[in-house]
Amino acid sequence: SWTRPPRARRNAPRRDEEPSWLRFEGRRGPNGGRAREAVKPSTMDNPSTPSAFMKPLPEVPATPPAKLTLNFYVPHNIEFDGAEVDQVQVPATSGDMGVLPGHVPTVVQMRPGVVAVTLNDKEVQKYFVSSGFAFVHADSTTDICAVEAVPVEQLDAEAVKKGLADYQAKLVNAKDDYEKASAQIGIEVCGAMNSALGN
Amino acid sequence: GLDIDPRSDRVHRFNMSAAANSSAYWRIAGMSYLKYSNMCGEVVRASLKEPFFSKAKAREAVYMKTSKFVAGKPSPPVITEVIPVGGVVK
Repeated sequence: SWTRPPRARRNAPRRDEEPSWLRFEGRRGPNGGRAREAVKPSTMDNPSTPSAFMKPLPEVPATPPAKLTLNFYVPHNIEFDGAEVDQVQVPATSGDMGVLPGHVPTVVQMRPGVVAVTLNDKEVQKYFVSSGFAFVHADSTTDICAVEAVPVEQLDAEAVKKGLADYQAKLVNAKDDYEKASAQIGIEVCGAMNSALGN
Repeated sequence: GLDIDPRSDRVHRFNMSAAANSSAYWRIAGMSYLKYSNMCGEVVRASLKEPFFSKAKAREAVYMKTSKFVAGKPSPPVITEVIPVGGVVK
């Protein structure tokens, strides 16, 4: 017996008008009707996004870990790489900051000052840092990136005092804003080195 | 060759607003953060004790070699010092 041909969909174009590559997605649009989308069959893969190449983010533990994972880098050297430490004190521009495991994720700009790494309840290693940034991540990984980080023992107290006096003289004799700022940078850093050495 | 002034960030000033500027003193004076940070590094390097001081000198210099191609052949490279060995802060 003869069966009726299927009823044509509303707004369906006539067969001879419809391009052969036109397909209907059949999704319901916001007003409940069918949304039509033309999907041309493609010979190319969809483009990858950067997130396709990234490692998945580390899990955030429910309780803070026992130790902090510290990465402390300068451009020419690696001071700490994945080291397990107890605590790190960071000289942020907004004040000194202590980082313990479980610290809230933070990004801070560091001022010239001392980064004190407490290795295991007894050993404290102090580095004088010229400036840079410190990042604390949700899984208690701390990244400290600085341009210069020297152990405080490597600073020469005489050179620091002389530098401070020189830059103070340069500030008085500065001719323009730029030279004044250069002298102020010298004073700021030498002053910080002085305090780091205990003067 | 290229003409680079070690203080060339004074020439290219982007978005320098003087009115109601609550930025750091170096930003107001026209320095970028990179300039400030590298100057701080130079001051620290200049205050090191002896063996470390000489090793640090090697880190200070920043230079580039440019070689123009003329008629398909490279001409001898020209070395331009962006930051001389003694540093900029003097």
